[in-house]
Amino acid sequence: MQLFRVLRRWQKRARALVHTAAVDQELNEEMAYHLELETNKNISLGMEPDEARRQARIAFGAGDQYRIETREARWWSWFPDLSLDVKLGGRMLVKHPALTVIATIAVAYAIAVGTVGFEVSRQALWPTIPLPEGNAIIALRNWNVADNAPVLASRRDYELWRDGLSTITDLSAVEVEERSIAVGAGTGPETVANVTASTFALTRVPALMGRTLLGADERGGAEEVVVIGYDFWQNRLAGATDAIGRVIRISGTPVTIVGVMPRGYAFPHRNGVWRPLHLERIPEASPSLRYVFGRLAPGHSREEATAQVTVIGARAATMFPETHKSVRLQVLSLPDAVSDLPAMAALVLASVNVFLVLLAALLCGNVAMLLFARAVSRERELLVRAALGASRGRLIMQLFAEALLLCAVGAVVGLMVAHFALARTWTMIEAQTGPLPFWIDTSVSWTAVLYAIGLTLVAAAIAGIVPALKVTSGGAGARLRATSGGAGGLQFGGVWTVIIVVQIAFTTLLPWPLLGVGAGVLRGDTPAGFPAEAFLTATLEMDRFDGVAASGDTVPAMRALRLEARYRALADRLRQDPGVLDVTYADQMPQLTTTRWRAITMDPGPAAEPREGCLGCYDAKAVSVDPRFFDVVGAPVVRGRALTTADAEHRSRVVLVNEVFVKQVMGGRNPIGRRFRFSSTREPTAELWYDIVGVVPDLGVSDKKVRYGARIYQTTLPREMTPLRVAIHVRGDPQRFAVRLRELAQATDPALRVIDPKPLPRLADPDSPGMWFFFELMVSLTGVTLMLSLAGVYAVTAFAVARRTREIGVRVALGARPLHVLTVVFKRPLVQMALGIGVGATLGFGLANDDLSEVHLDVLGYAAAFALSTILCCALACIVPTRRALRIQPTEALKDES
Amino acid sequence: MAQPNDVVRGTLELLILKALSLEPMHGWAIAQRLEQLSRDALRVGQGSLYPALQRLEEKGWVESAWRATAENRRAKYYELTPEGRCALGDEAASWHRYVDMVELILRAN
Repeated sequence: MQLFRVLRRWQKRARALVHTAAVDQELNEEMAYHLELETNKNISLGMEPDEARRQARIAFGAGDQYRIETREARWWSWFPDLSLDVKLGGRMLVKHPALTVIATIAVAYAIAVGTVGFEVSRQALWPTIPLPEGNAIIALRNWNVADNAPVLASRRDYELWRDGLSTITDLSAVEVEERSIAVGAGTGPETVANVTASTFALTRVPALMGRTLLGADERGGAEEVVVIGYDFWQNRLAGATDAIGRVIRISGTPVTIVGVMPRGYAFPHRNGVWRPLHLERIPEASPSLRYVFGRLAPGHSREEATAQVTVIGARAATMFPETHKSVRLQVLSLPDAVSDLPAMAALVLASVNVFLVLLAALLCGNVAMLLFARAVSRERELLVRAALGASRGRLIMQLFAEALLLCAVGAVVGLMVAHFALARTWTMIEAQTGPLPFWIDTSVSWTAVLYAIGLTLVAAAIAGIVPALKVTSGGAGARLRATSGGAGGLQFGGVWTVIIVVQIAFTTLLPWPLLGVGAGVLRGDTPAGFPAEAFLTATLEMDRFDGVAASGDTVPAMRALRLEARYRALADRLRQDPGVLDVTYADQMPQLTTTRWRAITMDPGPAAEPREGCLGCYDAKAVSVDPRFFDVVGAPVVRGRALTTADAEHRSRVVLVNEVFVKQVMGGRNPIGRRFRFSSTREPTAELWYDIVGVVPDLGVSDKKVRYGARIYQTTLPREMTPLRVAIHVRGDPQRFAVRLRELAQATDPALRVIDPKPLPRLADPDSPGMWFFFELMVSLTGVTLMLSLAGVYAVTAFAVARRTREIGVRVALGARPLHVLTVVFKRPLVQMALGIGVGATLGFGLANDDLSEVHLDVLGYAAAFALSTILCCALACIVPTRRALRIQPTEALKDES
Repeated sequence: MAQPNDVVRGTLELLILKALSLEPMHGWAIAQRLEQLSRDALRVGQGSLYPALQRLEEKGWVESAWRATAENRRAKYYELTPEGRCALGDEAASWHRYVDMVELILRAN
């Protein structure tokens, strides 16, 4: 009953808000009825009608005033005034352009980073699968409890689960692999999903054109067919309307297109091609099915499905003890099964979001300080309004409306920035973690917009209400007396002191990670040490044999041999091409530094000081190369002998080292004839000694990272390269040669895939997008906080001068010297600045302490220069108020009533 | 007959709650009932009833609805809610405490 009453009350409130005129009309009617009854009563007492009406009006009192009072007694009475406050706020934005720009940038930044953080977290942690009832799709996985690792399902597993589970329907098996696909003359790699036909029933999405796969397509002897995705159709077939029935070649095998899926459809990855999975070609017990998906049957919960799956898993362990003794069957959500993102995100994003919320709060706190300073300059106006009857709530509402308008402008700008920043963030995450899951949408969702609106309201509350409470605290009379006395009643108290100290500390602290990251990013521009701009590089891979698996081609060693043969044939074709000078291979190109560091131990001969913490250890990176690599890139051996094909074929343990190695490990001594071994006992070759036979120039080593530049070059045959990356020395533009490379590879073997061909200088470190992203984030954050610091310092000093104009006048009149005046006036702002810089610098040094030895001297120099420039900027922000203070004339100051 | 007294400031809402505790009624009837209960000793500023009723409605102590009167006229009737009934008890107790306190002071020698 109470709930009904509350609902009825809110219904009335809502009606009154929307139908104000009708509610006013009812009030008039009510009062008119009252007067009518009172008049009738007076007439019944013997009065004349006119007199009776007059007396009734007298008894009622001032009707208009009561109407106003009645309206004001309604909770929504301040709504009409809100529009007035917003108009006033708009004028204030125009009147104080500098403050508007600074506060808008700060709020926009806070909203942008907050929204991006929220949206990434939302999609990673609580993904929405863009398929009909997509969140009911689950995955089944075998888990080996002895090894604590997943085990691929076999055909008999799949068939057991399919026939035994009643709580899970549309069970479908999926394999995913990279394939070389030729459409007409064009060839390129593509992610192909081999799926059972039930996959399309599982995802419940019909084909846009043609049909999806059918059970008949999976049977032996059926025509080779394929269903393609919308993007593949658009990009590779130019959206041809006659795509159905056309033949494309997958690893050289002709297949007929039978369907095109609608735009945005992908499953289970962002793959664009689906082929029938021929289960009968897979050996019964071979663990080869990467995914098995299903859908919770109607009326069954995940718990029920898990219980049944556990029983089926136990049955499998009994039936196949030789393979399933330690295997448990599990139910996973689709995101957990196909992506590492949720698990990673849970760890990373929670802390990132806490940081972003704190950052947003700090930025809003600063905007609050600026608005407080502005509100103080309008203190008399607010006090006069209070004296004329405006309640504290009304004044707070006015300042809140102004802040809300400011924050709304910032929010619009912030959302526009978030639109671009979000796409950039996903690109960075993709570079770090591999292709994004198919359910990730890189645009800003409506949920994120709602979150941004929430952030805006919180920002407006911090930036508007906190200063408003401060400005409107205390009695109006006392405050009016204080302001008319020439000295304001308000001070930049404890809260503002904390904010400005934290702000300046933050600004001083930021350069540390900025410089750390910046140094890393700048190191990305590593010179190759040879004319890399004339080289095209690409990774070569071999498709799995496209036929019956029992052929033996699934054995990796067999495929590696086939890859080596195809590489040699391709290299011959390339060398015969007029556009090519030469070709070579390696597992890492010089600019890439992704190979892990390996500790080595030198023979007992003289060498440089070993690194701390490891007896006789040195660090170096080992790279596998073609014996001719250094000749092809034009950086031949400078001392000793070159590597030979015989070294590769006989797996001789001979290596070349670079000049940094000679300097750092050998202390400049001749390394030829010396030996080393890899120190870690986990190394497979830990006990084997390697002979250094030559020295090559430093490739891909910049001066700034000489410390990290020691390299060891072994020679290996192409079949042992993982990955096999080729470098082709071309005449002319390397990028243009990429098409020709694909053609030659296709002609060599349709199953030979050319991955990511690009000019060698553009071969970026996979870490660098993340580094760049973080660098940009830190640069923008430093810029915003520096700007806010300056504005804050300016506000504090200008406030100090404005508040103490009369006092300064008196001091000057009594003969105080300018320096003394400045010391008195600016003592508080200067203490705040010094405190902020001190805290920031201490934290910065504390955080960087462990790595100081790693930081290059010029980086330390940059840090010192930044700290100095921060101090200089703070000083600059004081210049205008200082000049104003020094120009105060005693006579004018004492006359000044404001 | 003595001049009727104005309602003591701040007690109008309490008086309205008391009047409505008897039965639902419209604004004029509330004013009449208060004068009647005070035997014409209390003069209620009739117009000030309506802001007070609005405040009581906002607090959830009173509900209003348009109904037909005995003369088949349309009038807005006010009714006490259960919360209003509780509030009447609290406010009345508070008033009695206040009166006793004033009485104590006035009787002091």
